[in-house]
Amino acid sequence: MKMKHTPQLPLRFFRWFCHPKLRDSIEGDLMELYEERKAKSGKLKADLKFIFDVLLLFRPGIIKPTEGYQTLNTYGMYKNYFKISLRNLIKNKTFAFINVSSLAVGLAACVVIYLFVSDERSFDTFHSKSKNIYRLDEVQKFTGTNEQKVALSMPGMAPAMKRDFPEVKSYVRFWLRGKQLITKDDTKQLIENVMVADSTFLMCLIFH
Amino acid sequence: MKKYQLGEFEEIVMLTVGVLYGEAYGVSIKKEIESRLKRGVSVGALQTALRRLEDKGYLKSHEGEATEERAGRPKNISHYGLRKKAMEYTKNTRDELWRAIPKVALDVKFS
Repeated sequence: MKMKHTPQLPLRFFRWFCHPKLRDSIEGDLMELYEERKAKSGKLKADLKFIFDVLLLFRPGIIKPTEGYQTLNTYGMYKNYFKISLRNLIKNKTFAFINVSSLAVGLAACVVIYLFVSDERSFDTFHSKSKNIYRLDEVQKFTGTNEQKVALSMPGMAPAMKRDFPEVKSYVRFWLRGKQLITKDDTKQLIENVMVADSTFLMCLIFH
Repeated sequence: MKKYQLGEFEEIVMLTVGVLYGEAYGVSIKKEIESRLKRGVSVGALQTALRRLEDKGYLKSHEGEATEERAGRPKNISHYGLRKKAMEYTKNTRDELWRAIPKVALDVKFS
């Protein structure tokens, strides 16, 4: 790029105050005019007119704003993102529906699974040894019936498991007996909910 | 109709941009106005008017070619924006006013 022999100080002044978006094109105008004037009426007149033009250019529309001419945040970008995505949703209604509804179903499933799992994991955690307490269930299978899973087990299982598996430290058995007539010395009393348990009950299930 | 307001100089610039169709940039607009209207136009006044018109949406500009006498600086070529109506509106209001003047008023001779 060849620099023209314009007066350097006013040019530098102009380049300093001018809005960067306008700088190059106005500078080109100035140089074009300068060359013409120089050829027509000499260097001195051209210089003076150049300085005069630069001074007349020093006005609000041309001066760069003091707060900076570039936007310093990215709001515009995000605004554009939202606009484009909305337009796409409106343009491809079927796919938008499929995508949005499947996302909704997926999120709903996630939430349901989370709630289910957290409920399961929060079950009976008030026992201080809750991590090591297991409930023995049973898969019953008799000839003539279908296989069924039941939440109860037979009384003999617990001692057998303690004998056979060293991991099993202790066991507690419960037996719900319902309404029972309890006799002690001379008093007889009908008690609504009777539950029979092993003596290890309080040792295994420490309530806090 | 405030929204179509054009200043006197703005109107001249708009019309000149139309005259110099496709060739309207700083120097050419300046020369055209100077030669047609016989009045001096400073670069500053012209550029502010152009910016103002661009802000209002009456003019748009694109970068033109960079020539030798411009030391490689691009031309900023102006062309009409979407709101050409402003000029039509200005012309129509002027015409209306002209038509509204009774002929007698123009014939008045001051003796």
